[in-house]
Amino acid sequence: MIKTRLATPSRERQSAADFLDDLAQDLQPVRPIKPAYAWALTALAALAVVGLSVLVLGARHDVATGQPEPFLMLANGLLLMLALACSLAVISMARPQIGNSYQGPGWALGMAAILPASGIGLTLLHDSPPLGMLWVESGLVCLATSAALSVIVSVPLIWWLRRGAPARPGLAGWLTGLAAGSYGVFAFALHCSHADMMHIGIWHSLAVITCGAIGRICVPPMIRW
Amino acid sequence: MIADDPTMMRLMAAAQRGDKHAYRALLDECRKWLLRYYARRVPPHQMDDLVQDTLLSLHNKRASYDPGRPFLPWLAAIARYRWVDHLRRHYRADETQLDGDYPSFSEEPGVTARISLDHLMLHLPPGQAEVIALVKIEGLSIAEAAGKSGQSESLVKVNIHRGLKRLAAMVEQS
Repeated sequence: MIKTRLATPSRERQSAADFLDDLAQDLQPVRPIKPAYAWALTALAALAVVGLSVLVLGARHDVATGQPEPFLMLANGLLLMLALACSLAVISMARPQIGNSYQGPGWALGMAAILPASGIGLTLLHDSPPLGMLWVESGLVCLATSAALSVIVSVPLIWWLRRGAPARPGLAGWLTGLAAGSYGVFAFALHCSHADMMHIGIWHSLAVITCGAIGRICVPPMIRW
Repeated sequence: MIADDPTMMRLMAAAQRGDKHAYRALLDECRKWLLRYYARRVPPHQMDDLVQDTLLSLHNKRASYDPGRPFLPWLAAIARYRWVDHLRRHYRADETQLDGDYPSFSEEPGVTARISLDHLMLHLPPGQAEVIALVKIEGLSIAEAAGKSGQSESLVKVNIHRGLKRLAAMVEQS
């Protein structure tokens, strides 16, 4: 009995030491991952999406003539801020640290929420039929095309997360979807024929949220480690 | 006593450059730290497995450490992730475990899967294929598989991990 008691810890110590030796023997030099790569690839993907929207789908007349409507600039500015805040969070998530906080996207999302809040508010306050809701067909086209464009931007973000060690896959999924969706909607808005509060507030916002939800469902299984 | 953070930062930076001695020393310190971290979080009989899983994750994800930042918050993030994952797997296994044997209507899908698996296993080194077959197919424990294969328990875990990774890559490629 005494023999067994003495033998067990020493066997465990030996076993743990073997395991550590194996890991140490397996060591190869690695380069720490550099967020600059992720930023560069994300920026390239975002530019590609804008190029695709403007060159292939065709830019709106006011955008093409260099005189975009003020409201379109405001809405796209908010979306760009949301995209950048979410990208920053996603890129930093690949290098986990206890104590990291990801509050930036929350504030950016709060700012961007002015758009759907205003769109829904205007729709409800109007006595006339809710125009924003009536353009369902063009709204669905906006939603589908923006989501398709967002896939391009999601690729470098997911690739980056897979290289790193994201410790909160669910949140990473949301943020990847929101970032990619914001870039996609930003790009599609340069083509979209509607630039009014109701359409942008409802359909463009819905596209961003939908991309976020798709990201929450699809991204975590791809980045678990 | 566990090394302080600046020491571990230096060791990890050296490990990223390929210094095996520094890495071995770092792994020792990490193991001590993890044993303390998990002491109140998991039952003692699960501790060793969880610590080794976490060290494997540390090994696989060592490029995600930024040498300019503190080491312990990085290690703690990995440890926490592995712990949550461990709990999820543990409870899921408890929920899905069946109490008795249930009749199977057809053996054909199982046989087909086994043939495909056997084909894939041919591409693995014999040591990896053997322990995967023992643990993942026949259902032996790590200790039993170690006894049967003549490999140490830690080597069995490493071989299973590497073998499964290689199998997953082969399935993805095909």
